[in-house]
Amino acid sequence: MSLGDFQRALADLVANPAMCLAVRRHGSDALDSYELTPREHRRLESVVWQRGMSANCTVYRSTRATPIYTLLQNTCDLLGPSLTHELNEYWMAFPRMEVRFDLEISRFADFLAQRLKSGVVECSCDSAAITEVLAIELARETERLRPRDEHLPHQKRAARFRTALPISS
Amino acid sequence: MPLCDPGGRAPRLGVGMIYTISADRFARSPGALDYWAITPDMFWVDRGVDTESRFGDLPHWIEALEWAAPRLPIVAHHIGLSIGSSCPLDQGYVSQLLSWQGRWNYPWISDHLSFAQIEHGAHKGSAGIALPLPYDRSVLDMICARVSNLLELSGGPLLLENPARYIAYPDEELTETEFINALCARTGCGLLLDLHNLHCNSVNHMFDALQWLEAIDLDHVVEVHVAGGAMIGDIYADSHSGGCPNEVWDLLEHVVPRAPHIRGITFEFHDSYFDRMGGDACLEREITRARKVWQRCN
Repeated sequence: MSLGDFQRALADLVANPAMCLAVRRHGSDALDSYELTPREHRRLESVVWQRGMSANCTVYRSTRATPIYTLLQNTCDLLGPSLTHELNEYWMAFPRMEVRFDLEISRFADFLAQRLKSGVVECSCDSAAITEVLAIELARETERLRPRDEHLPHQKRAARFRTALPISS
Repeated sequence: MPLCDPGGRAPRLGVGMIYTISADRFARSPGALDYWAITPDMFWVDRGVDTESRFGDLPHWIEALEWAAPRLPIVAHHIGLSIGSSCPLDQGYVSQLLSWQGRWNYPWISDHLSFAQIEHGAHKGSAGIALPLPYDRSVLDMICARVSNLLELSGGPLLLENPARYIAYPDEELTETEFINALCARTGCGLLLDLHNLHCNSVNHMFDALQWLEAIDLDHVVEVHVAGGAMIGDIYADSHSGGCPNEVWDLLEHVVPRAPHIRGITFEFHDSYFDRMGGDACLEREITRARKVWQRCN
């Protein structure tokens, strides 16, 4: 199990810069929940001090942001500077990445819609407008990322798209 | 004993490019490329291990393959095998890989010498990015067994790519070149030599890339990757964000005449950088330059 725990610990460190800082401060104690050999302990205690670990953390966050930013681009543009805060909140709520793009953006969209509804998103743009754009982009991408064997006839697709819109006009 | 050719019966293809939707027009231009390299994982939806019909084709992407298949060779560059994970290989994924090998008639298949899947109790999860393996004998043994099994199932050729490693583990039992040479010699798998990854490692860990190439057995090389990168803080990253730096072209000039079993040179870039790197004009420039190197040696 040791290699498995080593790999899980490294992945957790990459996904969580705060954990890297904890290992820097407390050494082995911060890795107590993993079953590691002394050599694996030494390796993890070494990598948290390496500049390449910061790069790994950045690449991880950039990889997680990519589907959201590229597929929900207008929503992200409307969020403006508050996007970073919303992503951080989302990543805290869901620390593990969903590798399927459709599921990741759908989970983020639900999370953001809830926050917009409860008025906690601090943004210069109108929440209702963001909610509307988010719904349209999500419906479009969900359709685009639907596998061929789940594809619906054109009329049903159009109906599904219309029902995704939060406005009745 | 002379080494077998890890490329098997695969033809010498020339110069190709990793296919992305943004470069679709360029990729379909007559004569632009000698082959397409695809990341099959981008062309399907994986509904999960417990689902009945697990993998579904994505229409927009599959249409491109249906166009290319009768016109150009397609080689597969996977990201989902996670050959170095401690958890057993995902047999459903392996079945899909083999099924697509038959469907698209790939001359070869490749993946990365790293791990991305992690164990969470009885479940598997994703690390989100490919992470480096410790170059230890026990890890080598584990990967050799998996590669031998895959080669038997697929009939080969199977290549593994040397990774960009931003961190270094202390006390590794083998150097990277010892690890790769042993892996290829013991199993018969080929090396996908990523020269940009090598360049990144040489910059970040301050070693001489040419010395690394002297230590690697170039008989194992079947495909070469070239790409561009960018700085993240004070690390030079394999971001695939532009044209190749001169150092990578120099390495390519060094490798191609010394790699007797090489079948192709692939230019890699990330879809999201397509416009910023100069679009089709950048692709044309990089492909033309790679072709000049290829043609001098073929």
